[in-house]
Amino acid sequence: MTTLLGGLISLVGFGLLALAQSRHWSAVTGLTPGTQPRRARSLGLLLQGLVLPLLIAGHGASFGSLLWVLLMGLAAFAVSMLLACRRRPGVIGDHDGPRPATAPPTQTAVR
Amino acid sequence: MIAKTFRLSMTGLHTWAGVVIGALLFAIFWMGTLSVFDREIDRWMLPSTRLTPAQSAAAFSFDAVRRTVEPLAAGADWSMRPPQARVPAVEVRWRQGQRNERRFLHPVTGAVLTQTDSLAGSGFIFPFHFNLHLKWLDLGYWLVGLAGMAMLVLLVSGVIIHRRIFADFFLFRPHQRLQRASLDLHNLTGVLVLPFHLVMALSGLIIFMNIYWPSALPGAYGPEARPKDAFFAEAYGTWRRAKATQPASRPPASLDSMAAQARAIWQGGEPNFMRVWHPGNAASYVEFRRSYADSVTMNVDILYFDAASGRELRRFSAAPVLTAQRFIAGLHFIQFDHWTLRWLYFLAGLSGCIMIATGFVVWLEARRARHARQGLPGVTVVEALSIAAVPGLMAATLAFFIANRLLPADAAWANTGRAALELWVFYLTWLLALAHAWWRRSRHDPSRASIAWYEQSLAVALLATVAVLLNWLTTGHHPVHTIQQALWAVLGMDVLLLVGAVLALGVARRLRRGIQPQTTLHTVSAPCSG
Repeated sequence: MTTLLGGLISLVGFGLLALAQSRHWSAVTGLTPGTQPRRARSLGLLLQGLVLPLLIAGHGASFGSLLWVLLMGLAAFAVSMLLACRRRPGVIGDHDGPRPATAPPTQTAVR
Repeated sequence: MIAKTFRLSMTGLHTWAGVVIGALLFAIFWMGTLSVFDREIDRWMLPSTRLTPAQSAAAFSFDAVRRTVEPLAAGADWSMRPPQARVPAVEVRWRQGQRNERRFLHPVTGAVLTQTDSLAGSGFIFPFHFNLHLKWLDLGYWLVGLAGMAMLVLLVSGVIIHRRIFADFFLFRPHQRLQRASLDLHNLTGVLVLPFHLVMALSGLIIFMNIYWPSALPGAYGPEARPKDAFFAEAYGTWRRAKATQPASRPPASLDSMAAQARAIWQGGEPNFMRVWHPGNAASYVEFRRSYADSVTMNVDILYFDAASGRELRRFSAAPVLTAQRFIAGLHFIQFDHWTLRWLYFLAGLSGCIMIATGFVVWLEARRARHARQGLPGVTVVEALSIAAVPGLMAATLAFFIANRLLPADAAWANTGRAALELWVFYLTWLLALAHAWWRRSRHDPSRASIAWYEQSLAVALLATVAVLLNWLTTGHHPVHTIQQALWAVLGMDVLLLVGAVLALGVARRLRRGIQPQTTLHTVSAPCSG
């Protein structure tokens, strides 16, 4: 039960952290980048921090902290997938932000 | 080539370490991920050991097991594991001449279960993860150790060269071209699961400290005093009593009462392993080891009893330093019973597989056009290798499962037993995948990805479905039956095979889009699942 709750809190927390980024904020809400609420980020981090004591209380120190790390990875991955589903070609935020289109990072990394 | 900046030099390191060691690393990750469910794979591959919880929950007797085993083992030392959550049957082992014998017994009736001669998950897949079944000169261990070090190097250099690790934290753009989408997925699986990958690579190296640091033991114990024996005696409590010249003068004491003593000493801790040394001899003794089902740390709590009198001979617990090592090892081995964590480990392992596979795709796509223009062979060679390493290895693993269901119980061919035939099927399928990848390399238009990606992904989907059907046909255990009988291990294996088949189909479709010429790309629909 604590696992499910912890996972949900972590999911919400990562959702907030994603919305705190202007790219995802504008892709999800359609609003102009930069208008995202300021507190989303600190609240998202706080929620991640809250999950750890919850899981330790439910599963003990070693299982609880393992669960915390792995659940955070899963929750962040789920948020990324949800955002990818919202994202359509051509939607604002589908591009590489400030990077000029002629120099995608993989090209510079190649030798 | 001298790189101009630190980041560029790390980029070179990451790129080339990745492409050179990637195939090996993928094999280790794949087998490690499957090893998370090695006992469940065992149940699937050894159908007689698929016992329902009701059949294995009843009271269990060590003495009853002894009555069955000692005539079979014919005086040899024998060991056993009582039924556990993931292994519902009693597992018994002994040596007969040069051969290791293993049988499973029914926990209630004590009957010897029909044997399926197969190494299965814990005998083939799990050891492949750490020694590649290359025993000569410990070569497999050293290659895996090298890959583990390379993994650490790749993770650290990957973090350094990832320019916008926080800005791109949640970024995945499946609709972009293959190279971009693959790089997103590579970064995502690398960054989000980074703590897991770091801990696995490091703990894997620490587990085999005696192999990777061979001079440590002679250094600590002096070269003359058989340092390995001295270390195992001190750290792991290994203790032996020499065989006496005369046979035992009276019947041995009850094993069940020794087990009861062990539970009392361990304050409720259950024995998960028992070995009878020198049965029938005057110096016979019994070893009990404590279960670590309820903690990450794999304790080294051992008790030795005199077989004739049932008196406690020795008691051992690991010292704090070794307990720390056993905690790190426990993080890696996950021998504890925690289903949520087991599934999370499995998913994290899969994410590592995705990270390596997408790394290959990025390397190939970034160079494909240039190598084609300049007539360089690099992309062609690396592509064939990576196809064989990724979908090829998956197909080989599935062929191993299929061979297990298809080979008759007494199959043998030219001195090769059934278990070895299963391995031959695995290795030959893998070799076939490599040959196919090379044969189907993009000869006519080297600027396009090889069609072998698509074909082998389809093969994976097909083989996974066939494996599920064969399980049904050969054992009658279809999904409804497994649910009714609560055979969760079998159900889980079948469900994962089917999910894998669907995913392989999806990947095949996406790869075919990447294989088609760029000009037609915009005509292909791009659903969310793509």
